[in-house]
This record gives sequence, structure tokens and C-alpha cells, in this order.
Amino acid sequence: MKQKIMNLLVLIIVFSAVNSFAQTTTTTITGTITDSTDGMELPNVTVLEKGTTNGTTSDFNGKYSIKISSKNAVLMFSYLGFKTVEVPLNGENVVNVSLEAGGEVLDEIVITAFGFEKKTKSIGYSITQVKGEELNRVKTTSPLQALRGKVAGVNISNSSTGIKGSARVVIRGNSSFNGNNQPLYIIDGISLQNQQLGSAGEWGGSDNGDGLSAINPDDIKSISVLKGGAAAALYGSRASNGVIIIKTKDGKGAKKGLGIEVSNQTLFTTINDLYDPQTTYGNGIAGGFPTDPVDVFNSWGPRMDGAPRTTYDGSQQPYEYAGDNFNRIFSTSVNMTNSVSLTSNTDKGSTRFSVTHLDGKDVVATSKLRRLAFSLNTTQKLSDKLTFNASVKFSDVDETANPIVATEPASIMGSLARLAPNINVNDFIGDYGNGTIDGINELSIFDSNIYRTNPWFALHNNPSSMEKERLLSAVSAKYDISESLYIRGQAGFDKATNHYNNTLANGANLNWPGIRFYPGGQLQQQTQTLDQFDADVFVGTDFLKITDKISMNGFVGAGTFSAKAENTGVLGNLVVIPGLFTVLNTEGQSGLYGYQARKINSLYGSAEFSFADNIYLTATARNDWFSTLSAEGKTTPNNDLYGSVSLSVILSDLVKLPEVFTFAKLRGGYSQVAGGANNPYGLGLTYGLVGQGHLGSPLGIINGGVIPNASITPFEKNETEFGLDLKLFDNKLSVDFAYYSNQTLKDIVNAAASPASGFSSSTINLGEITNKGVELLVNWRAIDKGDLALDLSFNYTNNKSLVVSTDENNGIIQAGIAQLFQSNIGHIPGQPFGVIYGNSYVRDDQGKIVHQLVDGVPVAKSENINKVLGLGVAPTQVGFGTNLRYKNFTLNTFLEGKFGGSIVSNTNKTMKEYGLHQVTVPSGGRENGFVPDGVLEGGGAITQNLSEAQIYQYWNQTNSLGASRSQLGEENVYKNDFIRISQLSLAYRIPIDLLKDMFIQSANISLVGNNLGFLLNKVPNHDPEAYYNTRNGQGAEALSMPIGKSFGLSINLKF
Amino acid sequence: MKKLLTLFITLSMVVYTTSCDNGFEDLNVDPTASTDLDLNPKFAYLFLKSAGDEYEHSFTNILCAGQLTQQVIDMDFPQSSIYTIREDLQTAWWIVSYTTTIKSVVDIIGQLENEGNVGTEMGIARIWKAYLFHTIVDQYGDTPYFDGGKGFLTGNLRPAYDDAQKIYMDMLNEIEEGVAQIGSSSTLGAADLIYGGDTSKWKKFGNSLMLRLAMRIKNVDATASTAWANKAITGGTMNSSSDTAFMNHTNGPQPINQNAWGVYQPRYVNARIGATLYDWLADHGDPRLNILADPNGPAAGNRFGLEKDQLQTIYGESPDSFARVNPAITQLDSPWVFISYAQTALLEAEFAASAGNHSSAETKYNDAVRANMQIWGSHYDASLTVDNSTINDYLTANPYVALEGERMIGEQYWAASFFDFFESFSNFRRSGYPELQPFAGEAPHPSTTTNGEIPRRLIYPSSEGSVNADNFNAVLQAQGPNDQITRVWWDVN
Repeated sequence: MKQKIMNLLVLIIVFSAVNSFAQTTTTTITGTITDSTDGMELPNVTVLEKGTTNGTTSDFNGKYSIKISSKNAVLMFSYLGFKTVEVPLNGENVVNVSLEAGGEVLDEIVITAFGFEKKTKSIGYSITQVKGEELNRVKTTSPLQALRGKVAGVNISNSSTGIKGSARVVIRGNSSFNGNNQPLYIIDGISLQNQQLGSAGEWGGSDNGDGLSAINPDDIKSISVLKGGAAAALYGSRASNGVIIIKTKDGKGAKKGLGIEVSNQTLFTTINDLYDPQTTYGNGIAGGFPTDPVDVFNSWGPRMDGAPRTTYDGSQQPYEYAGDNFNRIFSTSVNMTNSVSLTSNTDKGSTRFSVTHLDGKDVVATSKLRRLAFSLNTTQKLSDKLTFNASVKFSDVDETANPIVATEPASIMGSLARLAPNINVNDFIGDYGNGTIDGINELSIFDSNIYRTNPWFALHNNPSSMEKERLLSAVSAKYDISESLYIRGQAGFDKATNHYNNTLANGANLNWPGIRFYPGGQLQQQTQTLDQFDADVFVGTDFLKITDKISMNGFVGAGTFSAKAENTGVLGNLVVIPGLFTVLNTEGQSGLYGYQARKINSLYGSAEFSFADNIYLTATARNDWFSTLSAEGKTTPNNDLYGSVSLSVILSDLVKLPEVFTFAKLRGGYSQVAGGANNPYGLGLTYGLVGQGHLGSPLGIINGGVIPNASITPFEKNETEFGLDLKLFDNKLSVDFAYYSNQTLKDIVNAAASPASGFSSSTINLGEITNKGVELLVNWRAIDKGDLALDLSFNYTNNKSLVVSTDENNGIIQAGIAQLFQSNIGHIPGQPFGVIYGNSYVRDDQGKIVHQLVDGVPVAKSENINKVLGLGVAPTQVGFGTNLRYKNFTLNTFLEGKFGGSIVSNTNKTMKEYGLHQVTVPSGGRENGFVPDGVLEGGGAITQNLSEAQIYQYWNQTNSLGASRSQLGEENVYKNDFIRISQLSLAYRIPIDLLKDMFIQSANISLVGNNLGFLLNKVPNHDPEAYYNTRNGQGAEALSMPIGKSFGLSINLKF
Repeated sequence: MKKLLTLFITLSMVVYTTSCDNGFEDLNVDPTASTDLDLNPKFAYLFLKSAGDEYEHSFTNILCAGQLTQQVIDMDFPQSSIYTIREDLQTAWWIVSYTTTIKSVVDIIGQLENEGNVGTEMGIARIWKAYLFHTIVDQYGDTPYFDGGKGFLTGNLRPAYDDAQKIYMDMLNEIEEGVAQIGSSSTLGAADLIYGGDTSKWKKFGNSLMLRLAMRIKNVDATASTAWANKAITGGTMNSSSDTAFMNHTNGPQPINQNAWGVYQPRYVNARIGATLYDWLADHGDPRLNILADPNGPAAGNRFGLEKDQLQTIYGESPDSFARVNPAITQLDSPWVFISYAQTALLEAEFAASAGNHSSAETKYNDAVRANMQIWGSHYDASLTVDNSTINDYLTANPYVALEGERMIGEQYWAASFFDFFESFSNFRRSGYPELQPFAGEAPHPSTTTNGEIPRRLIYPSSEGSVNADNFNAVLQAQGPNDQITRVWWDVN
């Protein structure tokens, strides 16, 4: 099928090229567009030939040029914030227009499925478009970071792994228990791979970013978010979680001829140090000095008095607060983004080429990121009937030392977050500044526990690196067969090559070599290629008049999608020559190989009927065939047919509304989408070999821990949505409200099996998840007085998810582990998606915590049941933006908030266990005792005033993992409501007068800030969203790295 | 234009009816995997994995059974030393066995059945399955046996728990029939990583396992025990260390090729030899003291029943005050013993003693002690060779005494089962020897979940309560609560 579609595509191009020679003569209309208030030329105004998609935009000087087929055409001029003007040509060749501010913003064009540009008013579903300027006001390393909180209904969170980490994007609630919940990304018409390239688990690991982070945010022209099923249904199964359409800049709208744009952004990032331990008591045990002087982790010693004491190395040191260790280990990093772009804009089309270089460092000084990105995008009218677009992007990303997180032995935080307040981490820096004693071997921090690595050693001895090469290429051609009929084809591929170099350093310590957990060191070199290919062909009509009042546009199409992943590598164990990190420098090596391929073929169609331009009805249908559900002899279907309908009613045209309403639209839609299994080869049992054999004999195993299931069928997702678009007070206030309700049935899940079956899980169709929610977007131009303008925007989302059922037993589907607690993240029938559950306090009738006496100390009692302790996914999200412009200054701020969720915090647990947490210091100090809040078993309030030694036991018993751990999940589940100051920028646009007689067309300079802090944060000691990865089990923190806050300067010049 | 539209529609129809999923069935076949596999690689994996990887081996065998028998103490994981529970440690063996070795042996037997094999290979597979299951039943009690590991064969994701007695009787039958199926040769070749194709040794292995199981049920079903033990001895058990079932390990290339303790030892820096074992060896002038304990470390075994901070506060000691297990026997290429001649001879000695045949018991006892003392030099490190005169001196100083026979045999079995702490723990519970003291006679640790008594079993994963709820509740009804006090079927001592 791929071949067929490609053939057809070539056919179209050839056919249309041939046809192009026989063009009818056309007329070119030119003119200048100005602002009626000040007469300034307006760039980027959309000029459309009415009733067609023939259009252009004005250049930097407000000039436009458009070829039209009929002298009697009507030209439409539209520009955001201005009233749209329609001008009948009446044979004229020059049309100058002056646009009035205010006016209809509603003819704004948005990009919908398959890149079709549609008028917002005709759309019966919710779609949000974010412009590139918005994303690049403060440049972030990944385009998704900048989108955070800005789109109602879209929940974005990042992993707590620094600037290279991945993002989790969920639109209108999670719909799959343990499958994919992230949207489909389309870039210039082609689907983009957004694989997670390794993420941390509960025990550690590093996040190697996601596929989207290879995209340079600077190249993005706009992002359209197709939230609902009705919007996305045309893209089929892969769009069951919504679609994010990225359109890259193409030079359209740039100044005529050659344009050059240069920009620089320099950001300084430091840690947002939320870690706030007690600094009153030093290291020791049970209120006394350490019995073992080498113990540097327990902060249960006496009040620090500054007197000299024998410390871990036998020397005398003042027993006093040693200062903030985090700021010693983490450093201020500099991230610089330089970008040059060239544009060419002619009557025939436009081209843009850009080079962007990002040179970044994380707050972990050894962790670096370098990205070189090239982008070439050209749209040419090869003839009046044939438009051709090609977009090629190449990026090369080098990453070194991606931070190892969680409690993994090689993580920095594993020991840093436990270090007693009187211990200075600089004492362990070693003679070489890298935590070694001889340049190679770890300088122990004097705890024989192999899970603790000297933070300096962890910081400087993470020689892992990776290089990602990415080539994205898309071509599309559209040929207008007649005025109303066209044929269009597009094809493209996304090719990613990732070279991994995973190294666990060796060294020597305590008589054994290595970061002590990896005595001999381990090296892995791997190359992964991920290829994805898309091709689609459509035949359609832009405008088909059915009656005087009714018109139609629509198309039918066929598409194919294929993806292939191949992985080759070598694993070496036991490093021979210390400090030499190449895989052949190991005692033994073994090979790695993996391969996966899958395909989806599709047929689809869409029809939109317009009734007097007041009511629009759109219907789509699509059938997908899945290779992952195909097998010889399989009796259940490998394909599904589904569709959508949506309706848009322009109330303000049909009914006489009070004058304050400039515009009112009611919309609604219903959709179905089906989805196949993501992973191939899940239908039958297979065998393979493991390792390199043993003593001459190969070792044969049953592959995988999942019981294959040959009867899997596509899952289903249905969605109903309603919405209201209102523009009030002459467009000064706009309100967009949406309600949606979706339901996933027969999800394809790896359901837990009893290990006694021989397998950990089985692939089955099961369960039901629903999401119901509201989305609200309000934009208000609060002040509009010539030089002074203030725009406020507010968005609000509330999503209520519900796990209606799971498997036939309605058991819990585990999604994540809150490491070191008897609490997990999972899906429980009757509860929202992804709740934190685990054992809780035993409480009496009054809700007071029941304590039992352990060794004479009242300790909170736990109940070993799967009690829901919090929501892993916050149901409510708000975004609040202000944009204040005064003359040439613009001040922009953005606040992001989430409410109603919780996080299980391992950092807080650890700090309590080790006596670092503020709560371990009662208001009168530990010396004066502490009376736990609660009641004793069998009744009676606790009156016992605990001694220092007992205070230690109290917190240790409640939070320790030790033998006597009471495994209290509830103790460290925190509500994580927050309001984050996510972006700030103060821009100055140098007045054009000053630039006169220079080559410079425009110059902007801005002070920018990113993730600056919190107006509200309910979680002590770390970022409220410091999840260790971006997988389906959200809500658990595991000794997270502090997240950075950035300030900087951004300069942009156009020539 | 109309032509093009017609062309497109026709094309769509063609595509729709003929090729929308053309080739999909082939595409969805994993080119890197096979839908079937020869038996030999399956057997090789089964044998090697049965010796355990570091994960399940360290978690359950060392940190649970090893500490319960007071042979090793790791103060970083003191749970089993103070008789409380850390679930992941206790359940690792159960989970890993089912998802690797049990699944594998069930698959092998299924394939042998399909191939109509009723010969040597089937015999070995049935015996091996019994060997694997006895490690599970003895530690956990009732367990999914008849339906266990069959998820891919029957689709049974939630197997029922079978009564331990039924399992024992079936295992004994399987061994008997398995031994009978073993012929004079096998097709396993190099895949027979245990005996290299020597089928006579496989018969001895089967009978020795039969003897082990027979002795295990001595207190609960004396008649059956005697009958099966007689059958085993008549059939022919191991009669020298050359019959001992070893897995030889190599230095690599991967952890599966390596001895589990060899991987474990450098990681668990506070794993020390237990004081109970250390002192027993020292008190008897046992040459194995400097074989099992690191002769280059402190001359003391690790105290038992304490947490690390208590060790500091009460005794002013740290784990570094105690000897490690000798690195010479915990190398990456150190072998693993499934069943040894020494263990078998000790069981025969006990069987003879019970029958009043004391001279035979003494001979077997002496042979067993000799064999166990020699095995370290012959199979681990030549520098550990114990010469005959040293052994003779030991046997002279510690002669077999008929009246003390049961105790002496039990203690020797405990010492001879070093590394295989499951076996050591089972034999202790069954025989009562050595006479281990909880908390060395001191007050129990406050966290103990057994009222200070020595635990009698390991626990099932609590997740069974949700993923296999009905069967799990049924087994708790039948056997007792999922704690360490509930006893397995044969444990009535």
C-alpha cells in the first residue's frame, strides 16, 4: 500500500507539472495594507480570494500580491485584532486597504487535521492555536515546556531530571491504563516520533529526553492543539489522545526578497533551592553524638554548639552548621541559543532556512546539551494550479552525563539529600576536585552502605553520553483540478538515530572497585534507529455549491503509516583499565539486538456542509487496519471503522442577541476512535536465546513476561463535546467554554497475572475509563489606550476521570511505584485514573491517629490496606497570562497552577528518617520533648513527652525502611497544589525611527525568566511536580534533583 | 478531472478490498524470535537458571534463609535476623522461580509430551521439576503446583494453590517414574550442564532427591517416609562427591554465567558469617572455619538478632568487627551445589541411625564430613584443600556418638549445606538441629512479628491477594495466615 500511495503521489506531481504548462492567464492584484489608526503598514495580514483557499499574506511593508483567477473575485483581508474587510475587485488591479482595529477576529484561520486551514467559526469542536512568538518569548529547550499551562485541557508535566528531560502531555484526561496516553504529533503534515528515549524508574536511571526535544522551538510557526475526538478522528487510531499539529516557519509573510533574522538568548540557570532542612542539630544518633564517628548521614545528634568534636575522619571540627551543600554541588549554568534565519519571499512562493545552535548546561555542571538544528522549508507555486511544499529538518543533539536520578546508587541526590547539617560536602571533593582520591577511585563518604555514592564522584564520574541525529522530511503537493476540485498528496519520514554510551564508572573502594554498587563497572554502547513513514493522498473539493444556501467541502483519502525500530549494541562488564570508558576495555562483552516493525493502513473521508455560512455540519469516517493485530488464523478483527460528526451554529447570526455580544457560537460533536496495540509481536509465544550461552551450550528461553493473546481487538474511545464561543464588548472580551465527556472501552492492557502462572502479566482487552471535563479560556483586553494596552488571559480546566472497571476481578492495575513506601500508583475501579494508594494511619472515630507503643515509644499505627491516599494527576489546572504594553515596552508574565493532586515524597520521608526534616524539630527544640498528636491504642490521648532518643525513634519508626518499618504510605503523601511563576519577559522594541538608514528592520531586546518560583507550593523541600519520570504512573517523587530557575537576555534583529 | 476522480475511487476500492492489510500477518512476526526451539538450549537455560541469579539468590536464600539459620548475617538487611518481614526479600524466590525455571520446565515437559518422548530427557525433566518445586514448597508451603507456570499453555493466569501433602506425594511419584524413564544415554550433550550426559548419575540424583523428600516427611508420615527412603537407597543414591550435582560457573560474560554469591558479595559489604556458625566451627576445631570465614578478617562471627545501631550502642561494634565469608569460595566462577553427596550421606546416616544401625550411620557420617571438608579444595580453590590427617584428627576429636547421632548429623547437615540455606532451613525445621536460639537467649527485638519465635516459613507476595484473590483466600483458609509462624505441612517438630 505504501508503494501504491507513493506511486500515486509521483503521478500527481508529474500529472500536475504537465498540466501546469497549459495554464489560463491570471490577474495579479497588488496593494498595501495599513492600520487605520496610525497609518502604519501591517505585515502578515491574510489575503484570501473569497470562496477559495487561494491566499497570501502581506509582507513586512504591508504589501501584498495575489494572483486571482477571476476579475470579479472578492478579496478578504483579515488580521488578528482587526475587522475583516471584503473588497470586490470590480476589475481593479491595485487594492489598498486600511484595517480598523477591533473587528472580527473570528475569521481567523486555524490549522485542522491534515493541515486543512479552516475558519474558526466553521469548526464544531475545540481547537487551540498557539503562535510561535508565544512559544519563543522565553526560549526553552523543548517546545513543550513553553506550552505548559497555556492550553485549557492540556496537562503538561516534566520529569524532574533537568533541562534534557522529557515532557508528559495529556489532553482531556488519560484514557489508557498502561498504554500510550500522549497525543499524536504532526509536523508539517508528517507524524513525528515522540518516543521516550529511556526514563528513570523508581530505582533510578536517567531520562534521555523525548523525540520532540529534537525540534527547535525557534522554527515553530504555530502549534494547533486538536483536543477532542471530533477534531482528531480524521487522524485515526494514533490520534485517540488528541493531536498536536506543529507548523514550522516557512518564510510566508516575511519581507519581500531576502530577509535575515538573527537572535541570541543567554540564560543563566541556578537551582530553585526548595530543600529546607533543619540546621539546629548535627549528626549523631538518638540525641547523642555518633557512636560511630563515620556516620555522616544521621542528623539525630545534639544541638550544634560550635565546639570542636571528633568527626568522621578522626579530626576535630567545630560542631556547627556547615552551610548549604546544594549550592556547593549544583552550579549556575549558562545556556546560549543562537539562531540565524534567511527568508526569501517572492510572488512564486517563500523559502526559509535557519540554523540554530543551542549550547546548554544543566545545574549539574557535567551534564551538557548541544543541539545544532537546520531547517529548510519552502512553499512554491510551481504553477497557478500546483503548489509544492517541502520541509526538511535536521538536528544533531549531543548530550553528556544525563543526571542519574532517584535513589539509584550513582545518583547525586542519594547521599546529598541525607547529609547532616554539620557536614560540609566540600570535605569530600578530593584532591582532584572530582570526589576521587587518586583521580579514579571514589573517595568514600564513610558509610559502608553501597547505595551511597560521594556526590562529587557521582557528579564527575558519569561518563554516559548520547548523540541523537534526526532527519525529518516532508513533501506535499496540491494540484487544483478545477476551481472546486483538487488532489493532494503528502509523504514524509522521520528518521532518528540515537547513539548511546551508557557507562557505570568503575573505581575502587572498600577493597572493591567501582561505584560500590557496580564493582567492576559496566559499559554499553548502542545504536538505535527509529524510522517512521507516512503517506497520504486526498481528492477533495474546497467549495461545492449545492444550493444557494448550502455549500460543501470535503475529501476522501487513503493513508499508510509504518514504523520500524532497530537496536544494535554491545554490553561489556568489568572494566579492565580504570578510567578508560570504551566497551572493548572490559573482561567480557555481549551483543544486543532488537527489531520491531508495524504498519497501519487507512481509508478516510470528510465532508463539511455550510448552511448559509451560519451553520456548519462536519462528518468524518475512517477505517484503520493494524498490523499489530494481524496474525495467521486470527479470528477477531484487525481493523475498525469509526467516525465523527460535529456541528457549529453561529447564534449571533441567527438570533438577535444583546449588543454586548459581538459574536456567539454554539458547537457540539461526537466521535469514535479505535486504536490498535502499539507493540507488535504480542499475539503469539516465541522463543529466543539469552546471553552468550554457558559452557558451550546456548540458553533458550520463552521470550517476555507477558502472556501473548491472539484474540486482541482494537480498543474504542468515544467522546461527546459541547462548546460555546463568545466575543463581547466589541471583541474586547472573548470566552471559549467547552464541556467534554469521553470513554475508553476494551483498552489493550498488560494486566497483572499471578507470577505462579509463569508470567507477570497478560495482554487483554479490558476495562473502562471515563473523563468528563470543562475547559474555559478567557481573553480580555482590559486596557486599550493607544500607547498603553493590557491583555489578560485566563484558562481553566477541570477533568474528572473515573476508572469504571478494570479486569473481570476489578483488580488494581498498578502504574507506578512510590519507591520505598508501602504505597503505589494505580488504577482502582471507582476511583480517578492513577491514584496514590497504600497503607494508611489507623484512625479513631474522631479521626485521630492511633499510636501503638514500640519499645515504649508511641508510634503511629499503619493499616495495611489499599487505601486511596491522593490523586496522582491533578484534576484542576489554571493558567494566567498578562501582557502589558506601553509604547515600545512589553511586559509579559505567565502563571501556571494545578490543584487537587498529591505526590508521594521520598525526599520528605528520607529527611524525616534521618532527622533532617523541619518537623523533626518540635517548636521547643528536641531537648524539651515532643508529644505526638494522636491517641493510644485502646483510647486515651498521648501525654508522654518524648525524650530526644525517643523523638529519633518516633520519626525513624514512622519513616524508616529498617527492619521495623511501619511502612506508612500516608505519612509522606502531600497535596501538591501550586502556582508557579512560569514565565516573565520584559521586551523593548527599538523604535523604527532609530533604525532608519540602517539595514536593520527591527530590533527587540528582552529580559526573560523561566520557572522563577512559586506563589503557592504545598510540598516542602522539593518541586511539587518532581516526578521521577513521565510515564503513566504519575505522583511519585524519589529523591528528586532540584529544578532550575533561569534568567537571561534575549536579542532579536531582523535585517 | 472526472477521470482522475474515477481513477482515485477505483484505486480506493482496489486498496480497500485487496490490500489494506496485505502482508500484515507476515509483518507481525518477530524476525528476531522463533516460534519453536530445540530442547537442548531450553534444558541448558533451565539448569543454569536453577542455580539462581544474584537477585533472587541474595534476597531470599541469603538474606532470609541464611539469616534464619544464623549462618550469615547482613546488618543492612536485618529483617530475617530480627524475625520481621521485608516482603520483597521473602518473595523473590517464589516469584522468580515461577516466572523462569518453573515456566521453563513446564514448557520442556510439554514439548517432550508433544514429541512423544518417554525416555531419559523426560525422566530428567520430571525429576528436575520436583527439585525446583521442593525449594518452593519447603519455604512457602502450599503453592500452585498442578496449574503452576502454565499461563501460556492453558491461559490460567490465576492458578489455584495445591496442598503441600499432595504436592509431596506427586513429586515423589514423579521422581520414581522419572528415574525409571532414564536410560543409558541422553540426547542432551553439552546442554547437560550438570552431569555431561552421564545418565547413571542422573538416576543417583533422582534417588538422592527422593531420599531428601522422604526424610522431610519423616515426622508427619513415618510410614511413607520409610518406604520412600528405602526405595531411594535401594535404587541407588550418590555414593561419592563425584556424584554431587554442581553447576560450574564462569567469570562471565554475563551475570547469569556467574555464581550468584560471587556477584552478591561485593555489593553487600556488610554480609558477614554468623556467630552461631563461626563459634560452632571454632568450638569443634573444624578445618572448615578458615574455609567458610575469611581467614584474613576479624576472628569473630556476626552477632545475630540485632540492628546495626543496636550493635553500636550495646556492644560498640560494627559489621567490620566480624569476618566476611571467605572470598576464595565466593568467586564469580565458584560452582553452585544442587544436591551434594555429603548431604545425601548424612540423610542416609540418619536413616540408618533411626533403624538402629549405628555402625552404618557412623560410616556414612564420617564419609559425609570427609566429603564436605574436601569439596572446597577440589571444587572451589586448591588452596583450601584439607588433607586427610586433618580430617582424621577432626573425626577423632569429634567422634560420632550414637546417642548424640541425630544432633550431630543435624549440625553437620547445617554446616554442609552452607550456601544452600533453603535446605539448611528446611532440615533445621524438620530435625530441630542445630538447636538455634532466638535472639541468643536475650529479649526479643521489639519489631519481631513472631513473638520472638524462630520463623517457620517465608511469606507469599501480598499482591496475590489482589491478582489471585480467590485462590489466595482459599490457601489462607487451608494453611493459615500468610505470616512466618504458620507451618508448612511436614513441619510438626
